[in-house]
Amino acid sequence: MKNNIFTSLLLSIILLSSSYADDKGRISLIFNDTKIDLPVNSVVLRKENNIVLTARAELNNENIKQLISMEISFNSFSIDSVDIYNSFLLEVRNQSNTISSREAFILRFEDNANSGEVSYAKGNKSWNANAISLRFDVSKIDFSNDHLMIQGTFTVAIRSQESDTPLEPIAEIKDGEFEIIL
Amino acid sequence: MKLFISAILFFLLFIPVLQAEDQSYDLHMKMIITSPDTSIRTLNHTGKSDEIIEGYFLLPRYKDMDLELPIRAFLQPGGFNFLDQKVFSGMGDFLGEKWAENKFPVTDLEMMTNGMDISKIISFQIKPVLLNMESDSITLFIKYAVFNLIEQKNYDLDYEYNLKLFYKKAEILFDEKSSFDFINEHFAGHTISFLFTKSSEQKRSLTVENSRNIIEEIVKSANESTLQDLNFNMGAELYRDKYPGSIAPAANNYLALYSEYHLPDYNVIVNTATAEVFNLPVSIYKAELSFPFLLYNSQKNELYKNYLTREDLFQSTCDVIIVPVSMNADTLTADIFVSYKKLNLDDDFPRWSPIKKRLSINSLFGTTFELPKENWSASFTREGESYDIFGYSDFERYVSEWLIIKLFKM
Repeated sequence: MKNNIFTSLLLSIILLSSSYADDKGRISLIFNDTKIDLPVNSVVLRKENNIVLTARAELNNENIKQLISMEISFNSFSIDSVDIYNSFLLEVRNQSNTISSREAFILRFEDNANSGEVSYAKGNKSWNANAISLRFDVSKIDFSNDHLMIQGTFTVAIRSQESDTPLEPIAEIKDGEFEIIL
Repeated sequence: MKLFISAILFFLLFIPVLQAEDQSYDLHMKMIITSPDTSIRTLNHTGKSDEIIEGYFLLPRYKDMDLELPIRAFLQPGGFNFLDQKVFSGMGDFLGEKWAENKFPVTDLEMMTNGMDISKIISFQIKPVLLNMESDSITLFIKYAVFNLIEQKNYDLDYEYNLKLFYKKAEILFDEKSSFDFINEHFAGHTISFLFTKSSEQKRSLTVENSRNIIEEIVKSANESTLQDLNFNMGAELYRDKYPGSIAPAANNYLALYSEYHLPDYNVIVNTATAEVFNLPVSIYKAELSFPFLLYNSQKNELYKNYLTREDLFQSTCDVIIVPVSMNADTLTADIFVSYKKLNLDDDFPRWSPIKKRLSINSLFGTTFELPKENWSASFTREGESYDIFGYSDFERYVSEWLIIKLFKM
């Protein structure tokens, strides 16, 4: 399978940033009364069997450490062709200067969802998920004014047997929105 | 005179008594040799608080021609062994006969060595004296011999050496890295540092950051182990040369070597975040290779060269945990866990993937595997200084890196 992927590699574009944050583009997330808006650190757009966009945005200083890392797989580069089973990553980390403020969502699927990781961490604690409900949609892909803009929505509920209340979600995002501008 | 005699009596009579109270305490020493050729070697010792520590550090004469790697330093009883196959390969039998006749290795030194290989050696014996376990410092009585090549005469095999024997007393604080000018002055450009720590616990605990999945994997491997007595010790090396490199060392490709020998062993893991304790059925080993991060992209390196925060942030750590699983003749099967952080950013952002591998480690050849190149990135600001580092374009594409695991049977 991997050989097929690599032999069918047609296009690999790596857009690495310049020294200026504004030129990099941004990734924004809005969920659960939280807004995270970060300058893009790196973007990779590659053609395998699918078209796979990987983007990473990071704000990292003494007071705040935030990370958004996304990988979206498209059958074709259009809004109705997202294929989260091929590969998918939504990783959000948010921490101020205390460990108790740390919060992290990690949703990663690979190899047609045969492998991956779904976990949630808050403060010192972390949980591996044994059940997940995920809806992820791309609602707009637009290229204008020299910018590529991708917008969409997502809803997540993570359950874990390691939780004291395994039937209740340990973490839940309703009506989350994302925007990637490159 | 009376005072002098009293002092001697004190040392002869009272120190053994006082030390006897501390016999249950372990003393740990890290000896760290940092060399100007981008190499660092760490030697570990764990023993009773009065246990004598012996070993040596050798500089080869022809570094560029040397197929071995630059630093040669080991802890071993007796210090430098003039018949060691690591030092001499061709004259062992001949020298062995001489050796049997000369119990004291310093005797007839020039006859006992193949001078072509050696530029300088320090062979040392350290006697720690810990009068009180509550003390924040320890006294060291250090006896060391420095063997120094003076010249080669007439391009033949006639070499002239200088040998000096020294006795020094030093007192150093626990948990602080210390270095002695009286040793360093013999090795221009090299720094030899010591770090002493003490513990009173019977169990040797390895603290692991909040990485539950890794801890679970380590425990799982340890539970598979069929070993009871570990009659060996271990070492780990990270060897780097120019891409595309070769593990066969070549001086013109060499970039760096970071190594740690006589790895400390542990039989308990503690999760630092949750304080969970895991007792292990077999002792495991850990190397903590720590070394400066080198930005091989020269343009980027120039950009950050005057940054004040750079020294603290550009610090790499490569932790290697070895879980012995089974032993067959001279070959150990072990699970190796590698966690390699290129920068010291004090965050938990994922940039470098931990590795788990099951390997066979031969006592003669060790085992070697190439570390994967990772397409990591780090964009961060500290004290107003902003960095954008792209792992592949600034570092990975310039280098090949190998991890070498060594097995030493006792």
